[in-house]
Amino acid sequence: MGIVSISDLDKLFWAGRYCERALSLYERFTSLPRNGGVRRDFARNLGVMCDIVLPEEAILGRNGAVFAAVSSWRDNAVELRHILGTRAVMQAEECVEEAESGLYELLAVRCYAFFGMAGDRLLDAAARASVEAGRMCEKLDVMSRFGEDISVLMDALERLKEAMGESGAVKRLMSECAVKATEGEIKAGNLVAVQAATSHLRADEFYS
Amino acid sequence: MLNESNFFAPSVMMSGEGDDRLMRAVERFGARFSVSEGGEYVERNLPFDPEPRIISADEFGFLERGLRQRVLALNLFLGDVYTKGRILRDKAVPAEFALSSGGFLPQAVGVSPPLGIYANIAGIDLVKGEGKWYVLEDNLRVPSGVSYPLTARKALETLPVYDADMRSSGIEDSLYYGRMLGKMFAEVSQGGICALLTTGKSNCAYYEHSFLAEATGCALCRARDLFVEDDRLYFKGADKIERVGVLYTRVDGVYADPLAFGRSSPFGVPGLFSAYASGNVAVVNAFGCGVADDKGLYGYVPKIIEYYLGEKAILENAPTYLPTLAEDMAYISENISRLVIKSVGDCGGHGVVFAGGLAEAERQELLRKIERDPRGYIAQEMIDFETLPSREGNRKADLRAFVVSGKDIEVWKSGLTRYAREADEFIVNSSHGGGFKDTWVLSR
Repeated sequence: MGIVSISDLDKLFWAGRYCERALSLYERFTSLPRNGGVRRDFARNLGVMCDIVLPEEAILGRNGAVFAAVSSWRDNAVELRHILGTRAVMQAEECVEEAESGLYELLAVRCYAFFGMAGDRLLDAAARASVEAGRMCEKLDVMSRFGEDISVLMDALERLKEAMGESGAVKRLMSECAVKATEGEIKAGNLVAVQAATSHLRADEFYS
Repeated sequence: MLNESNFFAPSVMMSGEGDDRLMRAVERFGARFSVSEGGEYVERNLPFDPEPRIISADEFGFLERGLRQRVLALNLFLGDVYTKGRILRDKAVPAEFALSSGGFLPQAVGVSPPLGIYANIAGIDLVKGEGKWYVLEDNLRVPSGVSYPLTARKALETLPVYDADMRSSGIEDSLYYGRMLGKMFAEVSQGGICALLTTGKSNCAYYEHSFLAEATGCALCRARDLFVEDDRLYFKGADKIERVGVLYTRVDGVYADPLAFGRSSPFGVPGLFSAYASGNVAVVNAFGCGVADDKGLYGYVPKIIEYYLGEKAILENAPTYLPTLAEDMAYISENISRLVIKSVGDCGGHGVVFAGGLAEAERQELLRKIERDPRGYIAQEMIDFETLPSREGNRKADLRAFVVSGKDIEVWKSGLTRYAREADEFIVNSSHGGGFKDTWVLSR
């Protein structure tokens, strides 16, 4: 397995984040009843107004939210073949190919396989922690949008802090200030503010 | 004894269903190549044909001897040109011819790479015409394509037929290429990690870059991941700065260092050449290899082999004429309609003209172009090289053999077999829509 550069670390973060986004959105959306406007509300929570397109199209369609997340996951993963290994990259490649045909049956399996391989194969602590950090940032974002229980949010935040503790590089990748702000808002039960804070979790000045 | 004629037919070994599964498995590995379509680079799966080219042990043994000889001589030539210039003084190769090559780097004069080897990785293009192998081109700068047959072999491993039929059938393993490269890297390393320099996803061979980084354990990096300080090359690791002992660059020499070669390249590392010239980092392939993979100089390779090794070339060149020689130019003028004209500055199948397919006026215009710039072209007899079966029908196919030089010269026991997109087309390059096959070398 290759040696991890700073830019690899960033891509690992985003690969983890987009994979989690695809997984979370797909699992949450498909668990909702088809009638009663619940799916429309779901789309609205993601900032998609379903006045013209159906929520199914907006979330699971060719240009929908899940497809966009899967594509971005793949785009990051293919640049990490030397770190993740071809078999992990194949999960993302296959997922895009299936999504292009509107097939999502194996999406969850592929996402979990990817996370499993990342956890199992990545010997570099920073690389492993970066995927986990990306994943937890996304969980916090999605869960805050959908009114998840505070304890579940706190659990994700703790896992994010653990990932930061595993590697100095990942600690630099994240904004400690934003982590503290997120924690404060979770404890205060202010989920709208949590969602806003999650967008600042990855430090802008990382490359400098 | 196994040979091509009594070897089991792959179509028997792999039923039609097996072929489909193999093709699908290759696709799943993501073997892609970027091609220019409508002015934009798009990534697409490289066409793959599951029926491999099979080369007998005897035939490959012959190729192996010829390839070792050729690559050894080319490296001796490079070492000589950039140091003593003996071959030029002895006029075995005209100095003005060699030094006017676009691949000659004056900055590299007097600089000797680790072990004195310039072209650590060589990709030699061969074709077989009427039972005889010919060398068509020596690729010594950034030879690519090795990852595709490796991917095919890896994909084949995923099918149940692999263990049952292949291992017992005396087919040479090819998956050791990464280890072979790693061994050579260790031999030339100047102390530190190995890094593979890529231009990134925009490069048509990016798949190969990431594949080889995975296979060798190199750090895959772009220029921004590297820097030079005190003539030493460093890699910006996630947790610490690492010294680089060997840089496998997939960026062509002059673009690899904007400071040394005065080209504004976002893909280069400022100061890299200075670190290399100071002996602090091995660069694979070394700066300056281009002078020996010049299509014009190719015509002199048989002489180069004789000059350094005192032997006749084992592998013949395709009959080649150099417009810089009056006698050759006269021949070209008289016989242009049956010759292939190649521009020495182009690659990837570009700049190749089959003069027989031109209208008379176009042929005359081409002749005038050659007369105006005789160093810029070569002419070759057309070799009607072999066709191999593919799913689309029989197609012209060549073979790119890979030779790795460290303390030893090793010929990889496989190769990239490329086939043309259309029937009777002679250009097999991937950038022209050509496809690839795996190459199986029999071990007995």
